[in-house]
Amino acid sequence: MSLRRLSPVSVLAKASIMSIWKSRTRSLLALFACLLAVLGSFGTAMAHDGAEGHAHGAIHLHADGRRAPVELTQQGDSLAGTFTIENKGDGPLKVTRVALRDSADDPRLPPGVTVELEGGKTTATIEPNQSLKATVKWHPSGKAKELYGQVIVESDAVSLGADEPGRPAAIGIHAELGYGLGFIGEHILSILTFLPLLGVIAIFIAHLAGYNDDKKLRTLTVIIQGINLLLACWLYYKFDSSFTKADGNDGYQFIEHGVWIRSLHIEYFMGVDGVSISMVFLTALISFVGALASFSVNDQLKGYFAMYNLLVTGMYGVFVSLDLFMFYVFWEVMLLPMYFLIGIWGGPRRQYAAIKFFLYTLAGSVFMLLAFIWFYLNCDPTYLIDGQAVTRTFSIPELMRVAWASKGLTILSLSAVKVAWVWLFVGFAIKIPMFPFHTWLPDAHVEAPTAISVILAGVLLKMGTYGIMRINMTLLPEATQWAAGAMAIFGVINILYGAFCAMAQKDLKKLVAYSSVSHMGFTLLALGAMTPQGIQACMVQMFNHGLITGMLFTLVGVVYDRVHTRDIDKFGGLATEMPLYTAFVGFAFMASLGLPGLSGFWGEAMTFLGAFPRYRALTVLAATGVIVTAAYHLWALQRMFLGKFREEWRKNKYLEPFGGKFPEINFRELATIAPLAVLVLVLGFWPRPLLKLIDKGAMEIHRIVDAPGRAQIAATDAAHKGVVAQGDASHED
Amino acid sequence: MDNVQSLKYLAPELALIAAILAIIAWDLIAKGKAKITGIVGLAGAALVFSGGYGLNALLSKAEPLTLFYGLLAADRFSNLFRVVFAFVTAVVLVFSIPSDETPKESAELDAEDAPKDTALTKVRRDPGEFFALLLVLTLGMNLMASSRNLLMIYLSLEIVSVISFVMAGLKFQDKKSSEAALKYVVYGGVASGIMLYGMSWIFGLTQSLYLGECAQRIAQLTTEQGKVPAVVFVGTVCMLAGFGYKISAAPFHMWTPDVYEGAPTPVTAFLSVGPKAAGFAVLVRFFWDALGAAEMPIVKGVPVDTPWPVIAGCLAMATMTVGNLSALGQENVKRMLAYSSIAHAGYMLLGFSVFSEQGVASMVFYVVTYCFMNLGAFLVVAAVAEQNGGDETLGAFKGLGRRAPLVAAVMTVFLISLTGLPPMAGFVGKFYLFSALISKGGTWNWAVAVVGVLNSVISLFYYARVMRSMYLEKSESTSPTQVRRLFGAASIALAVPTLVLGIYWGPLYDFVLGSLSMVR
Repeated sequence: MSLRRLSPVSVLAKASIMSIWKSRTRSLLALFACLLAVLGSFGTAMAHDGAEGHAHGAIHLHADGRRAPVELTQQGDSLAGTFTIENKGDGPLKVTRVALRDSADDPRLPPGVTVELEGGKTTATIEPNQSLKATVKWHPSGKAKELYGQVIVESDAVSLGADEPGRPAAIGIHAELGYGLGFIGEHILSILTFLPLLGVIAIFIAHLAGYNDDKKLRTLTVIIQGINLLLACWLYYKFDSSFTKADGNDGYQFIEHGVWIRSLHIEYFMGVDGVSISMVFLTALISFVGALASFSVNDQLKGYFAMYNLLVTGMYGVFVSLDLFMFYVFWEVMLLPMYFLIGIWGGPRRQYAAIKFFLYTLAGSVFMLLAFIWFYLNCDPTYLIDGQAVTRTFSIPELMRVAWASKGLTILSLSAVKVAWVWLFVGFAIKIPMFPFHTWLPDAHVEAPTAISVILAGVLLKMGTYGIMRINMTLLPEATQWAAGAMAIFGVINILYGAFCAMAQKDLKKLVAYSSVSHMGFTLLALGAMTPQGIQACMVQMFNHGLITGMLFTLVGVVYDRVHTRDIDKFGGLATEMPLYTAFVGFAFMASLGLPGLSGFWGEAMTFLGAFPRYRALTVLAATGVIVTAAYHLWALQRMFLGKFREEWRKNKYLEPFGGKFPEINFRELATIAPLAVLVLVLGFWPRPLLKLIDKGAMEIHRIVDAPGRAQIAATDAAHKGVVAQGDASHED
Repeated sequence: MDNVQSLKYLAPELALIAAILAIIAWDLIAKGKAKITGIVGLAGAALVFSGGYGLNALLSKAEPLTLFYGLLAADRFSNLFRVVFAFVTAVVLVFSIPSDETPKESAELDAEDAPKDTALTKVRRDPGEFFALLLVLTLGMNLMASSRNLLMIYLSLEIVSVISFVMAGLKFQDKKSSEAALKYVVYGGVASGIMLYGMSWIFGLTQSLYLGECAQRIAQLTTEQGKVPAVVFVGTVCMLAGFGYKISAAPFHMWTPDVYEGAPTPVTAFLSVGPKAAGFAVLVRFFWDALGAAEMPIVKGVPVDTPWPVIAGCLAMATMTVGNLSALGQENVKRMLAYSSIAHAGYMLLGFSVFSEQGVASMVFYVVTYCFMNLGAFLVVAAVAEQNGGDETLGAFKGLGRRAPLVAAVMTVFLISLTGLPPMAGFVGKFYLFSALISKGGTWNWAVAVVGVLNSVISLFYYARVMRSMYLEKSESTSPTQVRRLFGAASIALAVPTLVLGIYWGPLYDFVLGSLSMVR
């Protein structure tokens, strides 16, 4: 009994003792932990003191006379520059290695660059407040005319100001051999981009100053675009089309590279390669032609030309930017001027068309922005161009080095590369425009004034395909392979759907607009194929389509300016009234339907060549589209220009000043069309200059994006086993 | 720190109080033109002192302190907001300076039909009271940003609320203005009642009004229960009603459009920026300081999910979407901007919902950029309405591109920035918000980010409507519109930073990022 009564008590007592014990241990443990913490902090403080007192120095790199980068200057037959490694700490600094940020299988620098410490040492110890010089030398032996890179200095101290600890310090190096033209040559891309912006500022100042002679602004704009065209010709002339990644600078030429926003790691980074050079040239050409075509605008000229020049700045910017943030800024900068240009100076339904264009493009580009941020946040550590160690970057060549697919990241629980690819692609596809995102295009084209239609079709649509090549394909090749089939299918839908829609149009401008949808389908099919011919075909088609639609829209503008209608069925027999105009329309239509001997042929033919090995059925389907294309062009030609002239036109009020006759195409209009027509004809017979220009760029994209097929791998294996004596059966490039 | 010592660190607020009293006195003494000059001078001096004090404290890296035995914090966070509030109030001060002479036409108009009047001439009988009240509001906001005590939070919030009610009703003969004030009072009363109720839950649980002590107790309970205690959850949600009302987050936003439309435009501009920023400041401090929301509580070595990110994310998504969708159909530009300000509160909540330092930095940076663009947009509305007999509808903006090209261009800059397109400050702000969300990652944050960017697209539509009115539509009159020189200059002064910060914002962001530390 007593035992029974006792036992709970004893249990209780035990429990209480235990709990006391436990709490005591706990408090003891806490005390111990506190002690440890204090000791630890003391210890770290000691260690910190120690770091300052004994073990470590603090490394600081600076170029002579400035912080960074190191400018190499001509010394004899080579270029050289020095920088200083300074120990700003209290202890000695051990420099273990000074090396270029470069490697044989991942070339960043052109050949012939060396770096060495003062006195030819490989390692050195620098006492506190002492410094050591290092020399960078460049024996320019390759094709590169300039040099952008970093020198890495490994030491027992970490770089100051780096995002994360443990990164060796680095400093940027830069050299210019010059392309000629001095300052202009060195900064050609910036000048091309921002010269039109200067025009905007000039117009703004003219407005503030109360300048009223608005007609002069036309001349100003033509002059600005003319200068740009000349500069672009020079750029074309100086561009080394055989320049590849192996020649350094990541395969880019005419580079401009600096830090823009340091805390966000945004760089001011421009450059051209085989992918963008043709587009830069096209932009120069089309914006010049557009400036000439703008002479038919008579209202609010200050606003018009300010917006026009701003738009041109945006276009150049997109094609030369190599930093995603910059790319995005230029991409969006184009939207507002386009909105106003369509909305203020457009046709009757301009307001609707303008906002539709704006909303569609913005809807695509915000997702693009999300994808860009994703790239930015998940990339590998790298260095800014002046040598600051960073964990994040927007730089396209750096992002190309990241193996995105093998990171295994997810967005919304889906494979991140696929989601990012789709987001980017939708943003670009809206611009192309790809079915089913194309509905803004006919509206925008029909309502826009002639010059703006020319720009829109000539350059803006190409930004979509350019973006796919520059960003989707090069940054996310695995996802591109995953989606290539879909791209090709949408391309074929575009070709056929656009062609059939064009056939149904009564409005000549709408017909041309839908023909654009159809023709841009070829670029998608070609990209989907990913073969070297396919990617070349895409670029060729982009360039030629720019020339041809530029011509077509100008020609539509000619007839619209005369009688303020574009209804195909209202015309007839115009060939007798305007023979020269008819000839040009015939020429442009033939080019557009892909007549051999004119440039339009090459894009289509090469697309079929490139796509056939991959997508036989689709290519055959696409080829039937060519028949439809021929049909609507010829039919429109017949309805407008052949047959009997309608006599009721004689009483048309718009023709009264001309005595009831259609005035023939005038000199300014001819001047607008002529450069395009000449190029169409020349490239039709001799496409070599264009092909040579884009060749290396296309090969590079193909190399990145097109994984070797099963057959090729088998062939390589066979070659290794010695079954095939000539081991390069699989050689692709 | 004890009360007497603390006074030294309260100098900006004391200066404001002194200025308020001086303005009231000057208002009684002075006559004629000197009156308004003196008042504006006094108010301006107090604001410059307040902002300058804050800036100086930030630049000199002053030690963070708690004042009045822990009632208030004097840290970088509160000093940053002191600067912001001083700036906002100063801009509104410029806004509110009445025109020297009433335009002739409108004077004649006055004689014919009295009720039709411009916003500013009818606002008040005496300018003194307006400026005094404005400074009281600033005082309240300063206190809001530095409160570290539940009661102090409540009191400072009420100072701001009550004065806001009065200011909303300043157009004393205007029915809309009176309606606005009344609505504001009713909503405000309900919201603060709920908030007070929530505070009582928190107090009941933690037995303390001091945020720091609340935090310790809540952390302890969280560890013991393995999750955030239900009481804390209920209390916080109730308190969110009060905070949400201040920042006009859905579903506590109902008062916003009516008040913004009815109140005099300078007041609207002020309400849309100042108290909203203060609301965010107190919201952040409460969640960081009292709930420790920035770190996940760790129970037995495993981090436990808190409900806060999801609540804040839902709040953000609802606020953005409601604001943007409601703004689509508005004809009155002021009312449209009211809804847009709700949407912007939603964007800012995006940064808040991440509960990371980067998130708060992006939020505060957005607040700063938002100050420029939103104040600027309201300023243009005020300027245009003044020239159109108080007409604030889209009709008043018709053909402005021809009639007043510079004002229209400046307005376009603000609208583009509000939409979030580069190269404007608003884009940079949004960029930081979205990158804060994405860097936190996870399906939830990605979903919120997607909703956020879609909202950006929606917002384009209604901002573009104003641009359409200005540029794409023609007005009946083609005579040039002359806005007051002061307004023109002020709007350009706001447009320049909106543009410049879109191109080069590095130093400002670094400054904001370095000014977020709070007393814990």
